[in-house]
Amino acid sequence: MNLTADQREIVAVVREFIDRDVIPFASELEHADEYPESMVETMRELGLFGTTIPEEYGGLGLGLDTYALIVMEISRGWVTLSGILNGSFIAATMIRLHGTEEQRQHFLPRLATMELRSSFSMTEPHAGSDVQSIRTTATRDGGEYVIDGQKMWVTNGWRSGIVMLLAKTDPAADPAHTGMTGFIVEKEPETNPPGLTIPMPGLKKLGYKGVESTELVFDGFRTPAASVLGGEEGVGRGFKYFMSGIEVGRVNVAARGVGLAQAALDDAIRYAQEREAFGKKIGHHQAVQLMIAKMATRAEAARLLTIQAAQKKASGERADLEAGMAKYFATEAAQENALDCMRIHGGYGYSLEYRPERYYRDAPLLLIGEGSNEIQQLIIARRLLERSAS
Amino acid sequence: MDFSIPGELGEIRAAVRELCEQFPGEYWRALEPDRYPEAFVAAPT
Repeated sequence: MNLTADQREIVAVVREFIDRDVIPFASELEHADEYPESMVETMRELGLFGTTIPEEYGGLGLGLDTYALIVMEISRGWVTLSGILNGSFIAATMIRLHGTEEQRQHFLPRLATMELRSSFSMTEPHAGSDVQSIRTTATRDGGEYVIDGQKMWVTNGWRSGIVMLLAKTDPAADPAHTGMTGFIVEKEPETNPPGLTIPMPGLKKLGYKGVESTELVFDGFRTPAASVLGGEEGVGRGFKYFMSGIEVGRVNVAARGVGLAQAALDDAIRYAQEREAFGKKIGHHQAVQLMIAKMATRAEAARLLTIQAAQKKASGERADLEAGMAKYFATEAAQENALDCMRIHGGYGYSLEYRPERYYRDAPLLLIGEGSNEIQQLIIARRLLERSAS
Repeated sequence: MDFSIPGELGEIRAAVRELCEQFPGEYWRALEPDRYPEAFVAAPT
């Protein structure tokens, strides 16, 4: 894998931050379900929230491939941090690609400095993978849209100042996706503005703690017509815009899988060289060596698939096949490595004193989120069948 | 092969099932994360 000097430099800086400021402290914050304010502040100082935002809008102007490398490092420390970062990344990507020039100038510089936090809201209580069956509506009323409906699993929902929201502007449209529109909903962070209720402390979760995952209950919430992503031309194009956001999100989740798989491997190797059983370090037992070999191979294969997908997507080519493969493989690798890491740690792996239990609780979300791994497999197969049919 | 359950064993199974039905998922979830299931343990003793 050939990295540029810039990529090597930024990855090295992030790695040092993760080793020094995150790994020793993440489990304690995670167990307390505490927002990692000081870690996020360091990420902000490093400019990470503007990684892919063009320099003319105040960002670092780096590609999706560099972003993926950064997410791998961050997730090696704590997956929650990449969730906080991703809220800004996905909003910035959608605004950069589909927003009007005015929207770019208005939002991107503040996303880059993290003056503005963002969340992504598509899922509803009854509709996850089946996006076309969402029910939230946006009804035009003069110079505004009135939003009604319920959203679910909104990461950063409480602290965000903008919500990238998908709603139906034409509920009768057939096919349904042609009646969907994306909105950049501005709201005051950490409040319940008129027409919007955000129940806190949010949804209770097995893992992915430290950042809130909320519901958004819209009841007559008003947003200016100018908040339509892409302006007037964006009406009816929201589904397409959000799918493009999800596609880069898939590369991001694949990168999280790589980071988590690597963290589990690192801990397993370290512990195998410390713990003794039957008169020698457990790393000298073949049963443990076999697990380490499988874990390392999974992590490395996941890394290569993810970098390939990120590079292809960054070059502007269609990359749904590669992103699907990377997301599917890397997140399964994370899950398998987390369990193997726990096995190698034995009873200590089940204890809250060691990190494997956190990996074990964080990994399954990656299998489910940003397009479940079942959906990824369908995308992979359909794409291959399409290719051979043409 | 005869896989039927002998009478006495079947009665024990039915009694255990009936006991467990008195403690549905809500009961166990309310004990999370770390409270001991006092009522469940007390019931058959």
